[in-house]
Amino acid sequence: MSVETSSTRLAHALKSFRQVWQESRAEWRDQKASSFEEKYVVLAEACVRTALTAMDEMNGTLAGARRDCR
Amino acid sequence: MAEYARVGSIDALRALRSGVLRFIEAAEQATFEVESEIQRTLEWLRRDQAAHWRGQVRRRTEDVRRARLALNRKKSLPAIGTRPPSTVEEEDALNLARRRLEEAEQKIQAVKVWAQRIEKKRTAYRGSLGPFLALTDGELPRAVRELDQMVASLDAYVALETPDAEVAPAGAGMPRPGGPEDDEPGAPARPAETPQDRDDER
Repeated sequence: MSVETSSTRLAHALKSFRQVWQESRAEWRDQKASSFEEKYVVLAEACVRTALTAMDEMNGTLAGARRDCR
Repeated sequence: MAEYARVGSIDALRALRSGVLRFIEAAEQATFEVESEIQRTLEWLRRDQAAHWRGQVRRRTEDVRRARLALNRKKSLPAIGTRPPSTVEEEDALNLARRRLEEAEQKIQAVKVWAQRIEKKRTAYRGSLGPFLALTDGELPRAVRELDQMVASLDAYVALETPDAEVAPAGAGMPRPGGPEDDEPGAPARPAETPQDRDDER
């Protein structure tokens, strides 16, 4: 499977996670929910963004190798 | 004063727990696949392409040798009348063979350069992925444990307070499964508050 496909799947997984969080957040309205959001949801979004950037860069490198060495 | 959890539906927490687990699984799969793809590309370069272009260099070296022989043979032919035989075709063939040999030699060099470049990029990639791996290996499993504790405490509370009800009324305040001291990840949930606890606080 290509890096691009994995990257797309990861982005989709984050989107699903964000959606389930928003649905849960509607039912969970206290300080602990805010803390959970800050500790895990916001962190997950930041980490995934960094990972996607790294994956995109890696994808470009691998594509260059395939193009030049074929 | 007791701190109350404001959870309208315990099932929402269960759904969130499942969502976190699904995310962890998808994230681990994505990182595994990227690593596999990097490794596959390195093997393709070092094994397949390196061998392919080495073979091409051998074959194209032979092509150059034959093209040179053909040219020399043509040059050694006796002149027809006053004009020597044309060698344009043989010279073109030799030039083409040389260009193709040069290309194969450059490809061998490119395979080495790209393999080294990918190794370096892989190191940088793994470094960039550090926080993400800490998230999926440490933080999110901790989140799942926190949710497990909350669900267990709230289930216990609901069973205690409303034995006939399956779910607490939406928006109802429930004793928080863990006070401020439980905010640290992994801390055990405080047992559901009892009516006696509340009386004591009055």
